[in-house]
Amino acid sequence: VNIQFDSAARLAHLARVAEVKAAEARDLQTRRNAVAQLIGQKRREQAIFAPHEMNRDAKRFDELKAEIAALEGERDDLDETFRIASAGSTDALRLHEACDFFAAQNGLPRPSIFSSRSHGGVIA
Amino acid sequence: MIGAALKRLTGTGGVDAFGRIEALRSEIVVAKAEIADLAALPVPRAEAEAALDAALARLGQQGADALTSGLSSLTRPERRPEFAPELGTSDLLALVVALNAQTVRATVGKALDVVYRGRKALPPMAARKAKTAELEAKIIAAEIEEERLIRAVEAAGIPILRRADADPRAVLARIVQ
Repeated sequence: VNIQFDSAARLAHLARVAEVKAAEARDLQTRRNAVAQLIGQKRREQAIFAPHEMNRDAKRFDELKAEIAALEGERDDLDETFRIASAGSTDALRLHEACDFFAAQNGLPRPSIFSSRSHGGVIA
Repeated sequence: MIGAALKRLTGTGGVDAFGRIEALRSEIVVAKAEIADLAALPVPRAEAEAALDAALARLGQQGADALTSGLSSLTRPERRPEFAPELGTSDLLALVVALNAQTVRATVGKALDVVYRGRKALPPMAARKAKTAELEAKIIAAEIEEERLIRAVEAAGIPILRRADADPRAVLARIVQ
């Protein structure tokens, strides 16, 4: 099979893709952590209005219960989305590394190490 | 916006780019499995027996050479007659073969019977090599087509993931859209 390569440009593209995927995964993790923190905060707040507490307030207690349930649903969705994004990020990084190794092994041009697009923050 | 981009990517015959990519990925998986199956097959019985015969001939010769290596100790007048062939541990099997090749062949043949019992005709090694090369060519062609479609999807601004085990030759190839 006779294949012409465009290795430097393609490697730079793969690095950018890996960077975007990693950023997506990080963003989802941050959001997931924020929701988890909020759930904890709501639970503490809910405990204040519990039936056995001095400040008991059944209405507020139930409102918070519903809010927590909604947040838990959101957290579960984020967990699943993060899992997929994280796998995608790992795949993109592995592919970039495999292609970079292939280029190095075969003496193909690779992006300049001085190019901001050469590593995309992925390797560092 | 993504809907419009997807429409642009819709190919002929109602097969969209994503469907085509999935089909290509299936083709690649099937072809790779076929190569793995071929590699796992034992060599044809005839080729195994030919290899055994070649080994027995070589060992038989080695054994005969080893057995007669100390002949001068029997025949030279300046030495006291003593039969002392120079045998190393690697000569022991060769010696057994030299003295009784037929029994060795029958014993190994029985073991081969067990390995090949119930197997259908196995393709010759040369045919397997040709088939593997054909499958590898099919895989790289499919990988290049998959990469072409992925680039088209990316160019349309639609997020898509490459396989982590995609062939670097396809991913780094210069592809004309």
